[in-house]
Amino acid sequence: MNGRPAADIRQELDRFRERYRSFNRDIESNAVARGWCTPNRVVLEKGPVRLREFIVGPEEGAVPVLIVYSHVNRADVIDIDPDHSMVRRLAEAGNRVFLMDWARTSDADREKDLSVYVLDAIGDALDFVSGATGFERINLVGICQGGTFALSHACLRPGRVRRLGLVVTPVDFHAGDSLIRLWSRHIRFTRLAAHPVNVPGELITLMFRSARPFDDLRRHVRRIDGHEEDSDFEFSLRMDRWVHDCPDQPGRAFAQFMGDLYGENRLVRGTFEVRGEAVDLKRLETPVLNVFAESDHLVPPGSSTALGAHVDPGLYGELPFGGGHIGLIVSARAQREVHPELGRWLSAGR
Amino acid sequence: MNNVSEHPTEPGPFQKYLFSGACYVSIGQCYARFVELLERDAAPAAMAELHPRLVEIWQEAFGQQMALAGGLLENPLVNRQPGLDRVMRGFQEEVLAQGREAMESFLETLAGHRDHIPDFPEFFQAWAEACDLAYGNLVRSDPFTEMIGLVVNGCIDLAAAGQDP
Repeated sequence: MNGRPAADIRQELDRFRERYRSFNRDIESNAVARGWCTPNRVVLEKGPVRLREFIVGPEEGAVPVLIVYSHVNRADVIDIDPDHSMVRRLAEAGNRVFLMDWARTSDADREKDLSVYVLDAIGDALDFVSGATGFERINLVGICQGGTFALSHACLRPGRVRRLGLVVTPVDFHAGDSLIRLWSRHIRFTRLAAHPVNVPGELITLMFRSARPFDDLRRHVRRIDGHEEDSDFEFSLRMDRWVHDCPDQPGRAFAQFMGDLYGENRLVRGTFEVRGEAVDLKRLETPVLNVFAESDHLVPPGSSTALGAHVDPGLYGELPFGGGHIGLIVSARAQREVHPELGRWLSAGR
Repeated sequence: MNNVSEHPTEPGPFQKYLFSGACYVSIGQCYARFVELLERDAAPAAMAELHPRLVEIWQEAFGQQMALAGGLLENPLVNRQPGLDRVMRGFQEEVLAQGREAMESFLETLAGHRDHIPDFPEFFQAWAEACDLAYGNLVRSDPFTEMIGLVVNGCIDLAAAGQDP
C-alpha cells in the first residue's frame, strides 16, 4: 500500500473483508477433528486416571515409558497430528508409550488432594504398566505440572522409576518472571483448600492466551489472508481448540499446588509434603534428563534447571530447546531436535 | 464488520479469528485516514485524530481477550466481593492508561519517520507490537492481579457459602 492514495487502501480493505467473510464460512463449517492421531486404547480407568496405551510399532523389544501430562491442559496435544506427535517420536526411538490422560474433572474431585494425583494415580499407572510389560522399573516422562507430579513420585517411591525425563517442569517456583505466580498473589489458597471448589478452566485458558495476544492477532490475519499452507492451517485450528479447552481444576489439589509450590516454594526448600511424606529431591536415585525451553514464559528456564543443584551430578543431564513452552511440546522443530533425543535416552541401556 | 465492537464477543475456540479480522479492518481504516492526512501534509492532525480511535480499538481488543473471564464476573458472589467497585475501577483505569501510553508511543514512532511513510503491513506490525507491550505491562500490573484474585476468591466464597453448616 506504500505510496498509494488512501482510496486504494480502502479498496484493499474491502477485498480483505471478502476474504474474511469467506474465512468465517469456512471456519464455521470446519469440523477439525480433535483428539489423538495415533491409535490407542484405554487400558485402565481408576480415579482420575485414564491410562492410554498407544498402538504404534512393534511391542517386542520396546521399552515402556509412562508419560504424565499436566492436569491443567488436555493431554491430546502430545499427539495432535502425525507431524506434531511426541508420542510417535518416542515410539520411533524404541519406546512403548503409555500416557496418563486425566478424566474430566467433576464436582466429586473438588475434595481430592494432591496425594491422589502424585501418589495414587501415578502409582496405579506404574503398577499397570509393570504388569502389562514385565518391567519392574518403568521410565517416566513428566510434562509441565505432570513433571512436578512425576518428580515428586520418583522421590517418594524411588524404586519404581528407571529413568526420569522432565519436560518444561517447574521445580523452583520462585525463579524468573512467572505470570502464574504473579496472578496467584491475591488468591486465598488456604481458604480454597478448606472450602474446595473446582477452579474454572476458563481462567487457565486466559493465562495460556495471555503470552502475546497481538502476535496471535497477526497470525490470524495471515491465515485469513491465505498466507498459510493448508496443513499448517489445520494444525493451527487444532491448537486453537486445544488452548481453549482447559479443564476445571480440582479445588483442594489446585490449592495445594498453588499455595505450597507457587506460594511457599516448598519443593526446593525441602518442605513439600504429600500425604504427610516429605518430598526430598536428594532421594532421587534415577538418571534424570531435564528438558527445558529457553524462552518459556510459563515455566522460566531457571525454574526447571534449579533441579540440578539438588541431584547427584552423575545422574543429571539437561537438554535445552531454543523456543517456548508450547513449542517444546508440539513444534516441528522440537519434533526434530528434542523428542527423538529424549526417546533415545529413555530407551537406552535396555 | 466495519467496527471491532460490532463483532460478537461470545468466546469460542475460533471466535478470536473473527475478531482479529475485524480488528485488522479497523486498524486499516485508521491507516487509510493516516495516509489521507499525510497526503494533505497534515501529520500533526493525523496524530491528534487517530489517537482516541486507536485507544478505543485497544480497549475493545483487550476486552475481547478478557471475554473468557467475563462470565465469572457475572457470578453473584463475585459481584458482591468487598472492594469490587474499587478494583474494577482501578483495572479499567489501568487498561485506559496503558492503551493511551502505548498508542502515543506508537504514533510518535510513526511521526519520527518523516522521510518514509510506512506501508500498511509495517503500520499494522508496529501497532501490534505496541499493543503486546502494553498488554504485557497490564497483565503484570497490580490492578489486574487484584482483579484475578477477586474473581477466584469470589468463586471460593461461593463454595464456602454452600459448604458452611
